[in-house]
Amino acid sequence: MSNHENSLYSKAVLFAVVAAVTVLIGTIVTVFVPMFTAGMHPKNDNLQPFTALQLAGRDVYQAEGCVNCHTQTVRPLKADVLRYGEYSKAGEFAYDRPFLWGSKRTGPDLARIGGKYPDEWHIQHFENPQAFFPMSNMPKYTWLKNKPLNASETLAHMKALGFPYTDEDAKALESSTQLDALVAYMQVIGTSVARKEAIVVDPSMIESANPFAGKPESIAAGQAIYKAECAGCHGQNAEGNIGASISDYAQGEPADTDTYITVANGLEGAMPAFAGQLSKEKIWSVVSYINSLK
Amino acid sequence: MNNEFHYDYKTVQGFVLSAIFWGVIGLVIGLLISAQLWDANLNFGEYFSYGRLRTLHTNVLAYGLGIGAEFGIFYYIVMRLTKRPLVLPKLARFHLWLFNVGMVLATLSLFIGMNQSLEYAEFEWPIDVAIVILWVIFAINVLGNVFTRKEKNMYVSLWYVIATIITVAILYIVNNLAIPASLTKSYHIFAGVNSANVEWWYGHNAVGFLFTTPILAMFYYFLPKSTGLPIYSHRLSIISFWSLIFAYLWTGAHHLVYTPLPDWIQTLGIAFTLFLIAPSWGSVVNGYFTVDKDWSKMRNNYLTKFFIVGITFYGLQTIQGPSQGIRVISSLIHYTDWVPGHVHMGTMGWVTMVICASVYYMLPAMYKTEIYSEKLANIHFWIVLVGQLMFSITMWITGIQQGAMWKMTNSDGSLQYTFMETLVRNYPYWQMRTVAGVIFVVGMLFFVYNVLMTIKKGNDLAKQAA
Amino acid sequence: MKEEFDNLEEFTREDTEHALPLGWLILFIGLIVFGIYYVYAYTPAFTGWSQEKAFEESMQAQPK
Repeated sequence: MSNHENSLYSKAVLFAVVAAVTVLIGTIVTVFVPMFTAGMHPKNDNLQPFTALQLAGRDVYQAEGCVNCHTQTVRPLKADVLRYGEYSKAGEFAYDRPFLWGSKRTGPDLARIGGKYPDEWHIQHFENPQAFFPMSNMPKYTWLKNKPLNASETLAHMKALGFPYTDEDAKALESSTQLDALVAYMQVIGTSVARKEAIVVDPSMIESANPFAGKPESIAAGQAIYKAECAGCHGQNAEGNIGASISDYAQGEPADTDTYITVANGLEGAMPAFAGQLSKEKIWSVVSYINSLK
Repeated sequence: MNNEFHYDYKTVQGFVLSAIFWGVIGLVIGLLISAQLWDANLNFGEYFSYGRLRTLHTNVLAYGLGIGAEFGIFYYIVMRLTKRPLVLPKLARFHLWLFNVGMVLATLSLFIGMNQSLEYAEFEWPIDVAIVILWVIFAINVLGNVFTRKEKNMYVSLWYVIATIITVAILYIVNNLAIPASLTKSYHIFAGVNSANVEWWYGHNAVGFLFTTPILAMFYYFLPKSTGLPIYSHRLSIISFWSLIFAYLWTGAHHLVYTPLPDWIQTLGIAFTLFLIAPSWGSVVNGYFTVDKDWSKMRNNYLTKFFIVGITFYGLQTIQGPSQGIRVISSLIHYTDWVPGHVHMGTMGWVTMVICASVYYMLPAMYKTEIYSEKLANIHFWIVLVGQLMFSITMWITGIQQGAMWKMTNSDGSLQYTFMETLVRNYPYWQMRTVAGVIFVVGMLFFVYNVLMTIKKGNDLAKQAA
Repeated sequence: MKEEFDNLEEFTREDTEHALPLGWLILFIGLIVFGIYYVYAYTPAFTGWSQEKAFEESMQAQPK
């Protein structure tokens, strides 16, 4: 140590200043400077501030720690886009304070959840996720429906953020629950970008009749997929719930290709598309199963 | 050389016991949430659901165990290296009480859902204010001692202590800037992409300056103290220190690979992250070469293996971490359970290992006695090592499996697996992880018992002497 | 009871005080060189690479 007698390491104040400058260089270049560039503050043209109900829902999302298990950013990677939809754009998040992109997908990404399911799906799913996905590990959020919103608190939040609201919005809060708010928030996430599925099926892309029609193994495979992915909305015994009764549907003797296309492409706002996540053979097996119900 | 005064160790002792208390709570919550992941029926209503408890687990362990232990151990190191008692011992005692009261309030606030949803900065603004006050009190005492020290030169550990104090203050204050909306709620002053960039600059450097630099301060101090072997190369210490603290602040964006954050920030983040292997391994090499002078210490001195295994996990962690930043690897393992596997190698294998060893060293010195049982300390070492390895390895396997299943496509261009199919394949590994967690906690209970019995032994001796 | 001081001598090894292991030094310089190359190669302003472009290429590579 003798030869360091008058070095930086014997001058504490100077040392502290040099250390502070050292840590500030990277900070300034990668955090502080970008902050003042337009590239960090993009906004999609049709992006709207959150309504009072949506913001209250976002507050619930934060309070319940949803970000621990769900991301809200689709990466520009083929598999992400196939599973979740169009990849996330910087301009979608201008009103997100804070961003809620998350870091772990214990559950699926939610960046394109808005409009994917009807409200009733969310209401029932929050109450009992296992009714939709028997093996799901998502907690049951049974208390949300019993908790009325604190309207004045929510309006204070709106004012703090400078988001506009009308008297009707304010009044509507008083009769809403945390569940209503959370569902409203779910339905707005990612909607400033037009919904676009990576795979959209048209009749020219598929066989004109089910190549596996009537085969027992195809029906069994279809039934397994139905139980895992469809039964929540259409009922364990295809009797219908949020979605139509599939037994009734089957009675109408629909064309195989129509059933295939509905499963593959979904129905806007009512039913998600499955073409990205189920192979042709799997979708045909679902068609086989549905046909077996008539 | 002897001096004319007493060091006041009461505050140090208080922080060590507080850290252990909060550590046990955080670990038990960890066991519960690990089980909730494979059995949703273990979510017990609003206050004991995963979303709330996972936040509690990380915060109670980071702030309660990690920072609590750091406060105490830093006071100890700083007093000894500056050769003087704390400048304001009463303020330090107040610091201890405020820390524990703050932890109680912070824990309750997370229970009731006061959560900013910024990872590792979840506390809402009233708690943030308390944390800033705590940090200022800590800084006053530590820097006060450093500025009025009785030893001309500052040893390596003090560099890391000073860097920690300055950097954490900058990080914490900037990232917690918020628009207050009420007593219980505020909104990040930064929005969208900018919010993400600030948060992960904070988030990654919180790891850097709460779980790397403070632990290195302990390592550089307690390794020579417990082995009697001087640090191999002072020059290597210098280069490692400056390059580490310089490079760290550029790297936050590696948490945001393939997000809408501008590409150039991501690229800079990845490049500097890879560079971090060098300063990290500077300390690893310095540690190995220090003990290289006499490897029999590994056998004869029970603490040596804690430090050498700890620094080894630090070395593995700092190769694995930078690799994860690379785009192609990130695209496979990001958002999977690989990442908790990585984090827990650092926290269980490096941070906790070195903190425990430091406590084992300090207790006999503070209570003027011997450790209660070296045998129990050895048992503690081996059990936590097995638990930690089992934890990390199961998480890595299931993480790679899940990442691969997410990506796999059929020949017709569709994905091979639905999300549920990829999820349920985690369950057996998550069950193994719970078992690994139980093993680790059992090991930690040996540590707690040994600590308490050593204190009792010291107090009994003091009574006899009186 | 009087305390024993920590003397800085016990932390400093005279014979290797200035040593820098060659392998480590190569790693240190190598990572700096690689970092410079990496920043050059993956910054849109330098080479035109961007994650969007890479994504579009990956989607075209395998028609659905």
